[in-house]
Amino acid sequence: MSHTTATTAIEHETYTSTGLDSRKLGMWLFLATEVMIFSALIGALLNAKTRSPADANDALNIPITGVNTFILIISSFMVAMAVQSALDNRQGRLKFFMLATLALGATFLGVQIFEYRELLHEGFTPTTSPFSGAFFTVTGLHGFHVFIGLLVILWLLPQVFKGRFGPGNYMRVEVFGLYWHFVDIVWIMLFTIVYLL
Amino acid sequence: MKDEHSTAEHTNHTRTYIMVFFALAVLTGLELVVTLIQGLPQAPVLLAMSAFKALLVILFFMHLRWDSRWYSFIFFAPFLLVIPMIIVMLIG
Repeated sequence: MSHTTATTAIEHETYTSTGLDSRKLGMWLFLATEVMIFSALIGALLNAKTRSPADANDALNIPITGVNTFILIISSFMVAMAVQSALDNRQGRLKFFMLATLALGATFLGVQIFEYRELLHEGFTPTTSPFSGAFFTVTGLHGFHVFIGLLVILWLLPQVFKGRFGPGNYMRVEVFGLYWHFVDIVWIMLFTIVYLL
Repeated sequence: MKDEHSTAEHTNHTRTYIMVFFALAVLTGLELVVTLIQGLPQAPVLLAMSAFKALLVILFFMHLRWDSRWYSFIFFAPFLLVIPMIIVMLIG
């Protein structure tokens, strides 16, 4: 780990022994493991789908979930713009985009919970069919990831509002962005595989 | 191996992000339209569209297009195992 000497410890910090920022490298390695876990569960869901009735996913609400997918895509755009705002030292925009990401992520979770309640009410439960069991497992794990992401945003927001992040110190925002984009990617694939196929 | 961003310079990707966002929005809408078209091989079309959307997020929102190739290797290497696993899962 190398540090450049600076009057302020936060500015111009670098963490590396490989030439790549260790924090960013660590997140990419973590996301690689996330690819494995979600792929395994999606594979199981596909297998379960072949062993369930052809209309097993008829209970699912495509229009609402389509809107929810779009909400998550917007939040991904917000996070990308948040990172750019930190690089541009536009503190107002950074605050806005991080708050927007929080609001959109919370909305997504709220809609998911609403859909879960509707499905359970209609008799589509984790034990109804192999597909329904796999559905609640995969979407539940994804929802948990969204929830963790929201907690991270709540941890970052005080730092954002204190003006901690800027061109010389943006890595926490970028690393969080990588996580959030991955959560979006998983949902993009899940929406197609679970709801549309 | 070096990260693109340094404290000295950075590129403004705002326009790219906006274009990618609109592409994602359009593709999401098109996916819903495809589900309504009869006689179309929906599964491969929908999977291709969602994979392309995921690729847009990975390349541009996640910066893989501009960052070190090591990150690309780390992220895509697991797919060497994922693809055969999915095939095995589908075969049952």
